[in-house]
Amino acid sequence: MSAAPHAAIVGPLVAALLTLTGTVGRQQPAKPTRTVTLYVSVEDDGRLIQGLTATQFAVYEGNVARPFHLVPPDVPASIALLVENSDTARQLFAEELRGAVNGFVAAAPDEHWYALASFAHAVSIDVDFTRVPGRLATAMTDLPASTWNESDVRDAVIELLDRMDRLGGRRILIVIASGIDSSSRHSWNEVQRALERSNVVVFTIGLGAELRHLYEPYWDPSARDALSQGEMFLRSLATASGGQAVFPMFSQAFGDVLDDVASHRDGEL
Amino acid sequence: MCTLCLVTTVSGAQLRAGPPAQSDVDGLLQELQKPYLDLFRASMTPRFAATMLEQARRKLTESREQCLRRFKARAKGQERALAVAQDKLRTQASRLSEAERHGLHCEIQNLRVARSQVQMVIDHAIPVAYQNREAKLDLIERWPAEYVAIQQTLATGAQRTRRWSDVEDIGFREVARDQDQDVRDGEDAVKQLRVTGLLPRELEDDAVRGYVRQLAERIAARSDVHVPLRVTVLDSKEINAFALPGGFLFVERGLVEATDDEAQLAGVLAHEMSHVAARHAHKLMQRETIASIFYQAAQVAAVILTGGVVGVGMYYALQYGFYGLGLAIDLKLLGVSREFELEADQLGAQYAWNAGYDTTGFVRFFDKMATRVGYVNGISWFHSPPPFYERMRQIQRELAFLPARPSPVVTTPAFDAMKAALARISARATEEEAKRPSLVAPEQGCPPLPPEYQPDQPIDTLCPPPRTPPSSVPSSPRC
Repeated sequence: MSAAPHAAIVGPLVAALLTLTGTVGRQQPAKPTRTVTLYVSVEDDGRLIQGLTATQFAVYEGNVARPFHLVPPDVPASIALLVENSDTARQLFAEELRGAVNGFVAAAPDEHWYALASFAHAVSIDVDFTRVPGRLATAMTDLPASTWNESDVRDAVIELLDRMDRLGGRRILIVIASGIDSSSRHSWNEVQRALERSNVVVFTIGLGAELRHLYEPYWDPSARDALSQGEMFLRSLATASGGQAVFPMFSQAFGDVLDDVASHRDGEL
Repeated sequence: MCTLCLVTTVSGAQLRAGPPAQSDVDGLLQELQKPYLDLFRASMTPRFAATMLEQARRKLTESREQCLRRFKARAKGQERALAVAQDKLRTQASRLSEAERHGLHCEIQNLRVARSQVQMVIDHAIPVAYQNREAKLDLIERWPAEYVAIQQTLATGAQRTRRWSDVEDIGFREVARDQDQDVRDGEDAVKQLRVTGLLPRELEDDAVRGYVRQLAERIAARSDVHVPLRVTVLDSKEINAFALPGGFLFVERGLVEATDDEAQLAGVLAHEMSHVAARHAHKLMQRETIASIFYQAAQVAAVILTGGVVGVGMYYALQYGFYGLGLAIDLKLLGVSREFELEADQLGAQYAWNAGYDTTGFVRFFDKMATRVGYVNGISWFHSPPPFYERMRQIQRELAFLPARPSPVVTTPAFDAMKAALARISARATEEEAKRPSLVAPEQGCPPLPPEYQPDQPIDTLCPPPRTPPSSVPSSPRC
């Protein structure tokens, strides 16, 4: 399935809804059709393209054009931040984590709902959906230190997707993590199925790019593998959901990145 | 005839010596349910003997402890029941049918909600209820002498020597110099506040916004505020208002909604403006602490709401409307001192008077808030450091010294029109709140849980006023 606007899709960011009527995956005419909602935004060299219409898109499923219609994105959206709070993450990325959440809060428009969850071995809901995004930043500062070194990111993502699955309207999950998974019960395939079920768009912000840049040559291969796999997970997660993955190199850049994400959320075609 | 019996014949039947009759003490305790204004009017002369007041005070203390014990016992019971239910879930999970599991989930959920509500009663509702009753007892005991002193002051014209007695010069006198120097601080504070993301969004309705601004400006024009007033109405159901240095006044929707007439709203706005006029914030607050103040405020709100953990208790607290998710800020976080708060009460009464309002508005609203469950914490103008009685006394004293004004305004058709518009906004907000997404959505299909209390429920119904049980205490005086 693909959406092909005239302008190049540099990053499939949330901006409008493409509601597609048809089957998903292999064509099975005997089965009833269902509606699939895709959130897309269109960028040209980093610049958000606005004012596009349905005639400028085409949607294919198995190389067959499918009917669709374009509707503006739901407002308010439900936006949840899921941050890694493992002992290791706090030791290595405390500044990046705080910078990321603060940057997001500073840019967050007030018409949406915001929530904060954190994870290590298990998920904790730290701020339920609120219209006061500042509560996320204060909760982030007060996040109790995890006694777990584990970061079961796949389990955490599935739990959040399932929790968000119950909600209506536009839902966005922003994962701020290293992507390293220590001992999740769930596999990547199960994450993919949860993504399909929930139709939540996931943006991922990778931690540790700076660390890797500086020290990776000195690490043993297993550490390098773990970080590479983490990065791959975050990229796959974002891509599979129609979101975007970013890996800021410097702590100070986290705020800017999330600022961009916050701005893109509200772009319209 | 003993001396105290002589007093009885002079001051009334209740002023007698010896152990007070139980019905008398009960009567005195019943008095505490009356509004402050009625008690001030009724307490121009002593009506109760010191022994009776002492006994009433002891009974209040006992009653508070008893009430706290009752709710703590209830909380313990809930804890035990919760532990049993959770244990059952843990040990029998594999043997439970779907229906049994659902039933157990509902039981655990309801117990968590009930525990959260009971904790709110223990931590907030009961302390405020008894603080209020004790303040009224203080009033009954101490106001008669205060009243006599006020009459003497008026008779000698000595009220002219009190601080800020020059009410005829309001607007021309100088309460605090260089208010305009606070404007930059205020602007920075507002910027910082917006960056923290803790400020609720602004109310967009022009009718309500315009009304509140006009009212605030009308009072400001008759006050000692010499900087342009910038009024923001926040779309939050918190019953709160606060002023930042330099004339930045924030009023939350919940406050406007909770007032019954224009004089009440004017009283609270005038109080907040007094902080601006007297430059209290400048004296006590450093610019760089603004963010931390609001950060603390958010923490306070979070702890009130959740005990630090988001759960189904918070979900229900919000559903039942005990708290909004707006900005709950306690003025003590702003470092307001006892002295400054009393000064703001005095000046606020003067500004409301000078703007032509019924000066009892602030006291009536204070009284209303003090006797309601739910909105008892995090309210800047309400729950400030000086004890309740001291504040009420200060205001009442000031009202006695202010020259009488013909036909003070209690309310206006504009207020009624604004309230009608606000009712529609609030209904929409409630509707929207009902649609609030949640990551902790409760188990569906559970039997409805009767709340431990309603937001507007009088606190007295939680812990009924103490009554003396029938005993051997003689009902007739010794003399």
